[in-house]
Amino acid sequence: MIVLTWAALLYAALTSLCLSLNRHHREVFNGRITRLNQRSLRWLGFIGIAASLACCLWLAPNGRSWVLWFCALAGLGYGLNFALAYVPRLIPAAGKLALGLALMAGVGCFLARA
Amino acid sequence: MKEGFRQSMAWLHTWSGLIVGWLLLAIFLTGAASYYRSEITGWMHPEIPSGAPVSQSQALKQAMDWLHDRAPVANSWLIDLPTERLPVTQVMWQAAGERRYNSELLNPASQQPVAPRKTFGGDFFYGFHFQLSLPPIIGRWIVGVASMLMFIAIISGVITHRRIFKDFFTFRPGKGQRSWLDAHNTLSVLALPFHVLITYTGLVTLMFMYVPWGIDLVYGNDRGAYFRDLRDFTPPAAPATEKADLAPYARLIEQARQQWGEGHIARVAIGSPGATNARIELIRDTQDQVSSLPQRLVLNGVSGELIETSDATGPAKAFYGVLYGLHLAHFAEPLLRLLLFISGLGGTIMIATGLQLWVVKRKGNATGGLYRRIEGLNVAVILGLPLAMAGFFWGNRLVPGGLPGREIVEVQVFFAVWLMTILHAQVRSIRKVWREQALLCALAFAGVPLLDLITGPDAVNGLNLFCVLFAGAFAFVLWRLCRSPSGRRSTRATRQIESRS
Repeated sequence: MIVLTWAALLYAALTSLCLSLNRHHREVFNGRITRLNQRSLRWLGFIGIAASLACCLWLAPNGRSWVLWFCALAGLGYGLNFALAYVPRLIPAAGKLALGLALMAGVGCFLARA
Repeated sequence: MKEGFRQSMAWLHTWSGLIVGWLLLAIFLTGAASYYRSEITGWMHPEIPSGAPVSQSQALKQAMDWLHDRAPVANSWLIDLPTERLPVTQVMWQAAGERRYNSELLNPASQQPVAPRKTFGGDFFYGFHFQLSLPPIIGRWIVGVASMLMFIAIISGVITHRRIFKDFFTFRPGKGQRSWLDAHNTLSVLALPFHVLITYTGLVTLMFMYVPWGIDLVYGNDRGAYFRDLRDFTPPAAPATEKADLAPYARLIEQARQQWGEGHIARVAIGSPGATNARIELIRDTQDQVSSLPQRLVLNGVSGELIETSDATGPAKAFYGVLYGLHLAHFAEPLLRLLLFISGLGGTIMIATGLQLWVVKRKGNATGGLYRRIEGLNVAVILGLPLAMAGFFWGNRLVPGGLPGREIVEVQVFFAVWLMTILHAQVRSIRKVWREQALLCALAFAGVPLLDLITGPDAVNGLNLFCVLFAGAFAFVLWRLCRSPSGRRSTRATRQIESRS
């Protein structure tokens, strides 16, 4: 549950970053990305990644969390790349699902701690 | 100037990678497997019961009773308590006047020796990872040089890679050379922190060998003194002649509980058991700390009183402990262990794609000769090594239990399979080599759980699950090899080249 908060957020952020790139946007949506969308997706991606790391370290402030986060970054990145190559149409839905999961897990964690 | 620099880095990346690429691939793959060293050891000892976990105090009591009966007069006893990952007690004892340790595995529930088949288990891959089954000094030097070149390849690779961010998510399969480059880039960049960390900390683990001058300056020729300081090791004193009963196990458990809480003893080392100068060391597990240097308690062996507590103190020691700990990852719980394993496999595939890139880039220009040897060697490490590893597991189940030196035979099976894949890759046509070895890998890994089902008591375990997944992955590779249009095209090109030559 605790892992899900930041891991799902990390996946959603990676998706956002990925879709802010012209080439991948075209692969997924069949259209060129607008400048506004590109900026906002990119910012969302970077903020999401930073927030995910902050959340991971805040939930368990120790050295292991750093290792876990960077390994998760690699693992989720591999997964996203694989999906982008073989099932690109599912990328937006998977990203939204991840964001939803992150929010739900975050609320769940908050309630459990309160 | 800038272009020139980048090009020279590209040259450095290509050649530093190619020279040791095969070796690095083997080091990475066996290293990744070593994350599951205990689990592999457990699987290769099917005699070890996978029953309910036994409390540490019960296991310690039984081990001490067993050693008391079996080796009442000894220089020292070592007791490794069962863990969740390997639920067996290992007892070792050094008889008076002997240098070597005897060892036995005890069933923590029944106090009886497990009498397992002789096998190196996961220790084989672990040892191969840093000394390649060669004499230790030679093997470690070779691995050290390879790691240094890996480090150079990582740094030069980052400099060479022009569009690191733009290519972050780019993988376009089925496009020949482009796909190999994409896969190589994305595998490298996404796990770059892992690659840098694991290569650097790997060098640190053996830094005493590679950069010994600082140590020599302080300690002179007495290298042993340095290691004693580093690991807080006190050599056991000769046993006193007067006898005295050893402190009861409950006293040890209580001392450990007061200092560390419940259930944290990893090892109990008892010097001069049964003598008046007996000395007991309790060594804590390192599961909840990054550093590999464990905390220890030293007790009087007769009264059980605490003599001293030791911890990794001093910045140099702490720094070394953390870096070594990061490499060994004893702190990793199942999820992190899995992610580290995946990162290790990612590194392995990164090296494999790099090696393939060298071959694919030169396709068409080169014919036969060295090019063909390199092409064959690539397959023999990319598919031959996993096949040899599966062969090692097969050997464990098929070599008869009572055969003298059977643990050596298992290792021979590993190297024999690997050697055969190397020869096979040199003599068959390369297209067939890829397909046949991929097929063999898929079959060999699929066979491991079946073999376990037929011969072992319990086939539901993690290693069998991984083998099924690997079998699936190799089947996927085989399917891609058979239907890849670029493969067919290149085959036609190869045939033309072959017919010309």
